[in-house]
Formats: sequence, structure tokens, C-alpha cells
Amino acid sequence: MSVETRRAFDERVERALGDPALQRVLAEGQDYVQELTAPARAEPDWPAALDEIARVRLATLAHLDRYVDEFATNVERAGGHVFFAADAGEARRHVAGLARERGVKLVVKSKSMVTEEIGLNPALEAEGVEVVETDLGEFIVQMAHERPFHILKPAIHMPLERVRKLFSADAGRDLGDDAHALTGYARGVLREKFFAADMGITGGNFGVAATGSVVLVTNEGNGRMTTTLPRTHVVVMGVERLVPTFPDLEAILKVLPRAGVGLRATAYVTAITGPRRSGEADGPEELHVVLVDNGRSRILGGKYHEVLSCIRCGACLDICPVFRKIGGHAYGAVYSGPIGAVLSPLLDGLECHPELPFASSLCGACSEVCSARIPLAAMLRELREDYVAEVEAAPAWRLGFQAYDAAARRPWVWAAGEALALPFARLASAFVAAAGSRLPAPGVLGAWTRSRDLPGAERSSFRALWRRWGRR
Amino acid sequence: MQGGGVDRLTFLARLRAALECAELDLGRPASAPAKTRRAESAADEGLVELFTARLRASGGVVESVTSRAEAWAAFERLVGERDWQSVACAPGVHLGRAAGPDGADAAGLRLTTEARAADFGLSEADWAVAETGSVVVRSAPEVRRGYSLVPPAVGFFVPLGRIRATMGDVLRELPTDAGSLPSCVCFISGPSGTSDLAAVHVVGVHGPGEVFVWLVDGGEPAG
Repeated sequence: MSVETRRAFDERVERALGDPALQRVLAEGQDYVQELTAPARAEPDWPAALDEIARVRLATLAHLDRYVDEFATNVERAGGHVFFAADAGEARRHVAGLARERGVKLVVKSKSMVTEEIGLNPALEAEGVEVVETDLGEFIVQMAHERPFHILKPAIHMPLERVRKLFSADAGRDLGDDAHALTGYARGVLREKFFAADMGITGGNFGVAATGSVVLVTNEGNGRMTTTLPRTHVVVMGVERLVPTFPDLEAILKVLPRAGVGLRATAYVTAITGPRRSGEADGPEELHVVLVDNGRSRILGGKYHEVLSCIRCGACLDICPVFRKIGGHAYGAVYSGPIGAVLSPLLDGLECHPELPFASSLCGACSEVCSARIPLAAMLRELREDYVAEVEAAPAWRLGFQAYDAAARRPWVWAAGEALALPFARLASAFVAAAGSRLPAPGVLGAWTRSRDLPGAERSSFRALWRRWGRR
Repeated sequence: MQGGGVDRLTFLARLRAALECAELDLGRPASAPAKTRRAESAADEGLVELFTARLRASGGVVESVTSRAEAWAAFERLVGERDWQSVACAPGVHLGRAAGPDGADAAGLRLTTEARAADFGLSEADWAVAETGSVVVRSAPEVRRGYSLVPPAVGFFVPLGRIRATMGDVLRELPTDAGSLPSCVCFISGPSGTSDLAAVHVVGVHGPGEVFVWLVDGGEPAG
């Protein structure tokens, strides 16, 4: 990976590791969510539910072209419009154009990672549109000019005191540090925005191909307000987020809230089918669905195909020991955690995020908890191989592994190397021990010894011990 | 058309090409097998108890009544206790009281179709789900989405005959074509809430902070 990307990543990681308040929030947050979600994972039908989700998602992806066609046809039958965006730029331009043509001045947005992915807000703001994030966490990070920290909990890293300062500055008075009072302030501000907005923009948790319905799974009520009050509703959705029929959502709706936030059900599951019908007194007059490819068709049918099954539950982030230490911003990508470490390089190109597949201990916990049975750990290993094969194969690495390969295939070479190296290893070990085991190794080995104590060399090699114990 | 995106055929062709070159065995398409389990009757008291327990665990208030008149009486008691002045509801929900929407009835309660200024929103639920403690409402010409969304407190009359065991049971009863579905079907499983702020759980964010349900024995909804 380039020195610049590596350095930038390392700096973000060091910043996270050096922030004791963030470390405390990350650890407490993960412990809390794991405690909330543990009862569901212990239920006897949980594994079968995950299997069903994987089955439905893969079955859909296997014929995604057909389901996308069916979905679009049904959105239009219900009175909506569909736009097919090959990439982020097309999606941005289309939504900005919709806003411009309708004289939109104010947009309210419900949480949507894909709108982060395509960089929608700046495009709308360039049109002179005020864009207001209405999910409380997104509202907070927007005010702080930050990116979402977690795919489900955008502001989980923010201490209450910082939110107090942000909101108090906005209000022009001290609002105190009570979470209820601060939430009440946000409710008051955003309520006015909901009623004044010209356009509401949401993502879509899922699209139902058979009916052209967009399904939103939410807790705060901002999703319902955004899809009810403004006269135009725009849905921006990744093309892979489809299921064939409503019943295919059953296992997903059972697992998603429990895996994500430990709830048996979120406060709202809303199925939107077209704009308001003739005679209906509320709801948007127009519905536009923007289906976004932006690299998904490159993943489809390939060796990472299964990653498109993700239902965005966040479980992998909440179990990952690396995320627990570095948090979401250190990843430097829209999607963080194990899913982000796989998806971001695939969507943007491995050369854009070369460090992410390596930002993992490969413990496999993410694969174990994944609601869609995605083999994330295996994909991270595969991406590392891709990186070496495609992006950077430094001559030194190649030579080193070739030498290792030659020695490992020839026992006499290995034995000779051992005989030569062992005395030096013992000497180095004694020297390091005398220095308190804290002496950093020079060069690239320093990356290992900066955070690890160098183990002492054994008196005998493993091969010698094995012979001594009489085993072959 | 805005923005000049790819046309539909090109977009679909790209997906098709990716699948045709697939490196993996992608299997055959199949919708979830239709569950043949009988949707349990609401006469099953287990469902009523489960629904009540689950909605109460989510912070909702549940009361069982034996008739629609009793449901309305319970509702009026609540209104009196809270000193609410206006209730947003569809005309049919108020059981044909003397005053229709936008007028006050004999009890001084003002019924309105405008949710924004109302203290309380009242709706008929189309279904309820025992497993999750959810009520399900569909938009319709006289049933505004706003009744169950905008006021700070909302309530639902739920005929026992409309309780289903699981969300899947309701999903299987939804129409299967776009033309037959209303513009909005919403599962509501308690008050709105968030833990986004320092992981402190706060109820009543943008949606209502209070949810009341009256389980009505006997008879489908009026109108």
C-alpha cells in the first residue's frame, strides 16, 4: 500500500487509540450491545433464522436482474418513478436535478448510508438546498461536521458533554447535559423542519420486487415523518437490497432489530408503495426511487458475491475486537468494521483502501455473528491475497517468500538455517531481555515490536524437540 | 428524466452479464416457501396475553375491553385524565358521536382530521402482532398516516379477531400486487425511541412518546 494511505490510516488509528474517552465509549458500547443481543442469539431458532436470511438473499441475488426489473415495473405501476444510477455521480445529479426542477429549498433526510456513499448532501447544498439530517445521531454528526461513526449508531462516539455544547451553541443558550432534554431540543428543531420541508430523502432497508414496495425499519419516527409530510419523497437504494415478496422479509425482520439493537421489533416497520393514492389525504404526491449500482454489479457473480447479502444489522461491528479499539472513523471509509473492510475496497477499488483488509485479527467473530452468514473473515484473507497479487507485490516480499518456500521444501536447507540462526537468536534474546524486553526492532520488524514484547528464543528448535520426544 | 443515467435495459444487462459470468454456483431462485401453518385465531388467549406482554415491555399501554362502546368509554376516561382537548382521527373511528371531525362533542372533546395540533391521534388497527406487540395500520382515503404519527400520544382500537401470531402472518395477508396495496402499511411496536445520545434510552423522539391500545372483544371495526 502506498506510504501516504498507510500513514494516514496509522494516524487515524493512533488518534483513536490515544483517546481515553473514545476507548471507554467503544468498550462500554460494545459490551452493552453484546449484552442486549445475547438473549436472541441464545434462542434455539436463531441459527435457522440466519440460514433463512442467507437463503433468501442469495436466491434473490442469483437472479437480481429479474427482480430489479420486476421491482421497477411495480414501483411504476404504483405511481412512482425509477431512476437507474450506474454510479454515485449519476445518482447525485439525478436527485439534485429533481430538487432543482421542483424549486426545493429544504430537504429532510432519514438515515441512509448509501446517500453517504454517493456523497449526496454536498451535491444538494451546491444547489442551494438546505439538507437536514433527522435521525438524532445523524443530526448530531452533521452539526459536528463529521461522518457517521457506526452504520446504525452514527454518534455513539460522542460524549454527552460534546452534544450539549453543539446543541447549546445552536440554541444560543445552555441546554444542560440531560439526554432527555437534549433530545427534546432536537425534536423541537426537527419538527419544524419536517413540516416545512419540500422533499424527504430516505434510504430503503429493502425493496419488495413483487409489489414495488420500499420497506424502512426505524425507531425514532423520523423515517415516517420524512416519508409522510414533504410533497416529494426520494428513495436512494443500493440495487442489491431487494427481496422477492413480503413473506421473504419474515426472517429478516425477526433478526435485524435483535441483532442490531437487541429489540424484538423496532418501533416502526413501514412499507411504502407508490405516492399517496387517489383520495388519500396525506403522504407525498411524488415518489422517486433511485437504484444505485456504484460497483455492485462488479461484485455480483464474483468471488465476493455473498457480501451483497448484508442486511446492515451492524452485528459485525459490535463484535469486532479491532473496531472496539479504533472505532468507525479510523477506517477512513463510509462503511466501517468488518463489513466495511470488505465492502469499501470492493466498491471503491482495493487501491483506495488497501489497509482495510489488513485491519483485522482474522478472529472470525464477524463471520460467526453475521446475520446473513457472510464469510467475512475468509473474504478479508482473500482480499489480502488480491492485494499482494494485484496492487502491491514489493520485490522484497516476493524474494522473502520465495526464500522461505525454498527452505521449507528442503529439510536439509531448513536444518542448516536453524543451526546457523539459533545461536544468534539466543544472543539477541538475551540482549533484549537485558534491555527489559522493550527494545524495538529496527526497520519493518519495528511494526511488530512496538506493541509486542519480543519472546525469548528457545534453547532447542521444535524439530530437535520433536526428535527428542520420539515422534515423527 | 434527470441526470442522464443509464437506461433500464443497459442497467439490467450489466447485472445479467455479471450473473452469466458467475464464478460461483448461485443456485436457483425461490421465494420463501409459503408457511402452511394456520394463522392462529385471535380467540387463542395466548395471543392476547403475548401481545399485551410484548407491547407493555416496549412501553405501550394495553387494556382489554368487551365492546367498542366500552373501548370508547375507556378512551374518554383517558382523555379526561390527561385533559386533552383535541383528538385526530378518521370520521368512522369516533363511533358516530354527535359531532363529527372538527367539531366538539357533548363531552367537549374536539375531534379533528388535522393531526398537527391534536393532543392525541386515534386509529383503527388493521392487524396486531402478538410476537412483537405491534399494531398494523394501512393508509386509506379517510385514514391519514398522521393520526398514528404526528400527535405526541396515539391510540389504537384493535378487534381481537385481527390479532395474528407473527409478523410473517401479516406479511402473508398483504396484497401481492402493487395496485392493491395502500401507499403505506406501518407496523407500530411501541413509542418512538432512541439510544443515540450516549446510549441513554429516550422515548418520544420524532414519533409519539405514548402508545395506547384497546383490545376489543367482538365485532370488526365500524365502517
